[in-house]
Amino acid sequence: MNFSKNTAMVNKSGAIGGNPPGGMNDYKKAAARKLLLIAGLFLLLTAVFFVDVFTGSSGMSPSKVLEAVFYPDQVDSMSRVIVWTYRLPIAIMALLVGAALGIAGSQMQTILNNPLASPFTLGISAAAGFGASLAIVFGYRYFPQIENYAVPLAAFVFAFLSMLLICGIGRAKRGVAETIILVGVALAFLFNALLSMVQFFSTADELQAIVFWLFGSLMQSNWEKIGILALALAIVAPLIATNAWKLTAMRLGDEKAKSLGVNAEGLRLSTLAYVSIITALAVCFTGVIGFIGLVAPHIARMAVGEDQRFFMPLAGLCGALVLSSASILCKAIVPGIIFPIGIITSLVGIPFFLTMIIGKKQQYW
Amino acid sequence: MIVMLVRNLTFEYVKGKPVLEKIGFEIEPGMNALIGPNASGKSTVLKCLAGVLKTKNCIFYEGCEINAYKSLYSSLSYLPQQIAVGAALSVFEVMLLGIVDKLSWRVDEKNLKLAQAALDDFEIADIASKKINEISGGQQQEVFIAQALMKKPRYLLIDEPTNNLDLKNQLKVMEKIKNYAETGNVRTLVVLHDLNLALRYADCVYVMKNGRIVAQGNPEKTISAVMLEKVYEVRAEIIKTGSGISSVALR
Repeated sequence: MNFSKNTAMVNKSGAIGGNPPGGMNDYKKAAARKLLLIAGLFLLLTAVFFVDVFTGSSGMSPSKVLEAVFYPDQVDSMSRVIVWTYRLPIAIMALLVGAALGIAGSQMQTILNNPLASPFTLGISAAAGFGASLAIVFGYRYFPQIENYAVPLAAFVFAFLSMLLICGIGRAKRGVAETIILVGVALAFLFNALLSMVQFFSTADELQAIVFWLFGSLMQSNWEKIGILALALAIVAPLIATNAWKLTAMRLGDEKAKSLGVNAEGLRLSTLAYVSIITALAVCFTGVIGFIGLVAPHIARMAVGEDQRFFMPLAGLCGALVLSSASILCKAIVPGIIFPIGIITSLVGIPFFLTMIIGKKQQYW
Repeated sequence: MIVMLVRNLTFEYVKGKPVLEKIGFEIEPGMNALIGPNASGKSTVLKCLAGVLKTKNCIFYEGCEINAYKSLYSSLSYLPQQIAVGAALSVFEVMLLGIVDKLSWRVDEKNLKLAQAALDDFEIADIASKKINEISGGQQQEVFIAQALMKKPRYLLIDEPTNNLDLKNQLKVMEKIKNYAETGNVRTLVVLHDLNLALRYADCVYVMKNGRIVAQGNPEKTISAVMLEKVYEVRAEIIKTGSGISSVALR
């Protein structure tokens, strides 16, 4: 073996002379690649969105749909109604709900340091389901005048209350992640039991309505709901983004994050409060689409890692992409029938997700 | 002005069961080691000094009570014994987190260079693009020590820096910390289990047992056969090696 001084010129990875491999330049390249990926996915999402708007049982051609979108006054009233009352609201709602659930899931997994955290596993969807079932059974009977709003309102109230309860207990227990997760899981069981009880006492028609709501559907979308969810997202996403680096530091554990000056408990509770608003709104308008909040963050994490500046937007994009694609499939599987989107997202998304996990060579959690 | 002072520090995780009792000491510039048997409260002292555990009127930096000391996080680095390393973050991203309070949405060139210099200093630039959860435990330890030194803290607190390291890297890391501790007005407090490392590198040792500091001073004088028997309950002797450095030899 040659132990002469010349061997020291060869660095650890075998490169001779020049800049060492890795480091600043590679970081910059990786960041540029991530940005490119986000831009690419955004373009793909735009394409998927238009396919979603083009797809439907009325047999309208894409050119006619585009004409109705951009020149609504120049098309017949039927086409205008189909595009502006059904197709556009449903397609936009798919984007917003997917983005909201993706962002909410990414933040829950980050602040709770747990790969299983999502609106579904923390009981928010179950609480919304219980609220919706209460409104379906008792709202129609006793408050027929607010029939159109009773279900989303009750779903929102219960979803939000469950999040408040989780935050409240979390705060009392000094924001410990494990406590918050356990409280969330306990609430999921509680609300599922309550939901079963309401179903037990409901009539056959009410039971059918409850089950259909629980399937998850975009069919009730309208511009009012889109406005509310879009506004919430426009407020919440920048609020989370301002803490991007601190949220990234949270993944090193509370102790390390605190030593870096991050108020770990405070950040956990405030972020939980932010995502509770968009989660509760997304779930109350569309029913239980639990899968996206869990899976979109994992897909984003596999693609760009956990620097929140890339991770959070990509989780939102992935959520929107999955739900938009599912929205197309709902309409395309059996022409003339729209399958509930909650079922399609899970049936199509889970095999795709499992393939990604099994195929991935790197450890990503 | 007293720069780094602990006064009458009592801490309890469970009410009525204090793990630290009325501790008081002043940390001088240089390399200070905190030694003592398991569960003596060493890590808790570090967490209190780092502000991770909340205390009141017990810890003072530059004459200010810790809760009122505004520049705590810019002037102090703390490396806990265990760090979650499950995140899908590259080594370079982890390095940047060491200056999280200075980072904006677009990372400045200055901060990128700071991270690069720290990696170069530890000769670990070749793993900068690897994920933190894919490198060995020893490499992770080196990354986090490099991260702790990166912002040139005036106060450096490290809990067992030689964890997971082989003999060569133990010496490398201790040399780095020692060199840094000697660069001017830096106060370093390191929890060590290896008494030979304490004898070799520390300027001053603090010996803890049952939540109290039972001895402190020059390592050569403080780490004695009598102390080892009383504090660690082991019989050992201190021998001088050929190079003049003292070493603990078990009987």
